[in-house]
Amino acid sequence: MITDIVQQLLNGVLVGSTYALIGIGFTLIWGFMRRFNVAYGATAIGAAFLGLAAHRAAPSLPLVVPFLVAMAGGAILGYAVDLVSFRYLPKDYELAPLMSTLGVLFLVEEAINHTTEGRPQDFPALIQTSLHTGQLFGTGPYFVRGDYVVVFVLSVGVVAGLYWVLFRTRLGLALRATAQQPVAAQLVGISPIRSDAQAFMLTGALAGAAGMLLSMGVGTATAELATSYTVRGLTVAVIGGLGSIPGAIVGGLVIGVIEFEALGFLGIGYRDIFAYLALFAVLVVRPQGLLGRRVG
Amino acid sequence: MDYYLAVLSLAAIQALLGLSVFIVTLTGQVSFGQQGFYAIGAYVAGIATVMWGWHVVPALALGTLVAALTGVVVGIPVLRVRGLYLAVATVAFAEIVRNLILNFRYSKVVEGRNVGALGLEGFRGIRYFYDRGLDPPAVFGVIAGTLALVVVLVWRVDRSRSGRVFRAIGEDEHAAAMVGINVVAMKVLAFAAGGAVAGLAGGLYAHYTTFVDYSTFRFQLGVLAVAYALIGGTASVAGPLMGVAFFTAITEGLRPLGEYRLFAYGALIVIAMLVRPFGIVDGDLVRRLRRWARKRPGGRPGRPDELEPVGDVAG
Repeated sequence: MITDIVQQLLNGVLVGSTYALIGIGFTLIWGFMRRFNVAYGATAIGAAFLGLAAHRAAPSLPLVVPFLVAMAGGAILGYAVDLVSFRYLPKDYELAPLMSTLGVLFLVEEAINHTTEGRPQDFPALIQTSLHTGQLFGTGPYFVRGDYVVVFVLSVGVVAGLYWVLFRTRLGLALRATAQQPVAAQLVGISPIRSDAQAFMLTGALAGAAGMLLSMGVGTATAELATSYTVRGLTVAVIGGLGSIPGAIVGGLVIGVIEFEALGFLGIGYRDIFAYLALFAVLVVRPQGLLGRRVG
Repeated sequence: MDYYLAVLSLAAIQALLGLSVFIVTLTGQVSFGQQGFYAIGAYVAGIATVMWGWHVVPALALGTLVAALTGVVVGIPVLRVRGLYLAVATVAFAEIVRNLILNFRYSKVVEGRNVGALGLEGFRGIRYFYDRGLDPPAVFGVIAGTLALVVVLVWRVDRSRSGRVFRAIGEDEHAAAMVGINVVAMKVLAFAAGGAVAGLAGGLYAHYTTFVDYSTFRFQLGVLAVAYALIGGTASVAGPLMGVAFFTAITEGLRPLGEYRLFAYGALIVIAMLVRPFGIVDGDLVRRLRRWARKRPGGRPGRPDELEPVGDVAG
C-alpha cells in the first residue's frame, strides 16, 4: 500500500515536471501582461510537430537538432500570436485577446489535424528504454522509467536556462522591468511593443521545448493535445499562483502526483477529476494560488 | 430540405447556448462552463423521458430546473472570483461534470434494450420525439418555438429593472454596491439563469440527436458558446443571435471548400476579434440604431438613458 503510494508519487513527480514547463509559459505571460495566452498549448504542440518534421527530413542528425527546430518554431509561433491576438486589440478589454487566442488554438489544432489526417504521430524515443523492454532503474521495491528520468532532467535544464535568461541577461532585465512598472520601463527607453514581442518569443521557445519533451516522453502526439495542454497548463499556473514561476513548478508537480495517485488507486476514469477538483478548490479558497501574491 | 432543417435546428440550439453566456455577461462576467449545464440538462431530461416515461415538457423543465439549482450551488462559491479567474473556475466546473458523466451509470432494460446513462458508452435511445412520430419540421418547430420564447424573455429582462441592475454590476461592481445593489445575489441569479438556459438547450439537443456522451460536452463547445456571445456582441440580445447566424452562414457558405472549411472556425474568431473586438452588434451600433429608430417619423421619444450624449462627455 505504502509502496504503491510512493511509486505513484515518483511517477507523478517525473511527469509533473513537464506539466510545470507548460504552466510556466502561462504564468510568465500573465506576469508580463495580466492576460491568458490560451494559444500556448497550440504553440507547444505546433512547435513539436515542426521538430518532428525536421527529424523526418534528416533522421540521421542527433535529436538535439529537431529539439532546437521546435524551440525556434515555437518562438515564431509565439510572435505570430502576439501579432494577431494581442498587439492590435483593445488593451483594456481582457476578453478580446482571450477569445482571439482560443481562435488560434482551434486554427493550429485544425492545421495539424489536416496535415496528419487526424492520426497520432510517433515521436523518436529519447533513450532506448521502455516498460516493454524492461529496462528500468530501481532500488528495492521501486522503479522508475528511464525515459521519464531523462524528461525530468531535461525539464530541470530548460527551467535553469529560463532563469538564466530572466535574471542574468539584459533581455531578462528589460522584461522584468516591463512586468513590474510598464510606464517606468518605457521612461528608461524600453519599448513596450518590443518587450511584449520578446516575451512571446521567449515563452514560445519554452513551449517548443515543453511540447517536444512531452511528445518524446509519451512517444506519440495528436492535434487534440493542444487543447488538453492548454487546460492543464492553465490548471497548473492557477494552482501554483499566476505570475509565480516557483508556483508553476510546484503546481505542475502537485497535478502530476494527484493524477498518478488517482490513476493508480481509482483507475483511468478518475484521473482528471481530482485535478479539476483541486483547481476548483484553490480558486474558491485561495484564488492567489499556492505561492502567488494576493490578487487585487 | 431535411439538411437545411438540421442546420437550422442545430443553429437554434447553439443560439440558446449563446444566450446562456449572454445572460452571464450582463453582470460583466464570462463563463466557459456552460457545456456543464448543457450536460446536466441533457442527462436529466433524457433520464426523465427514457427511464421514467415522462412527457417531454416536464422532462425539459426538470432538466432546466436542475441546471439552475446547480448554477446556484456552484455560483455561490465560484463567484468569489471574477474575470479571467472565473473563466478558469467555470472550465474546471464543466470538466468535473464531464468526468462525472464518464463514471455515471444509471440504466434499465426497456423493450429488450438497455437504455440510460452507460458511463463511457454515453446515453443512447433518447427517442421521445421520433417514437411519437414527429417529423423533422415538427421537431424544428419545437426547438424554434422554445428559442423564440427564450429570446423574448431574455430581451424583456435585459430591458427591465433587473436588466439595468445586472448591467450596472457589469459596468462597475463597487458603484453598484454603493447604491444598494446586492451584488453577490444578483451575480448568482444571473449565473443560475444562464445555467437554466444552457440546461434547456442541452435537453433539447439530447432529444434532437437521441444520443449524447461525455465527448458531446467538450471544452470546445463552451468556447463556441462564448464566441457566439462575444463575436455577436453583448450590447443587446441581438448580439448572440447574430453570432450564431454569422458562424452558421459562413461555415455553411464555405462548404465548397471541403475539409478546409474546418479552418474557418479558428480563423473566423481571430479575424472577427481584430476587426470588431467588441462584437458585430457592439454598443456603438446599438446606440446608433436606437437613435435612427427615434428619428423616423412616428418614432417614439427616447428614454433618458438613450438621449444623445452632449459633446464628448459620455463614451
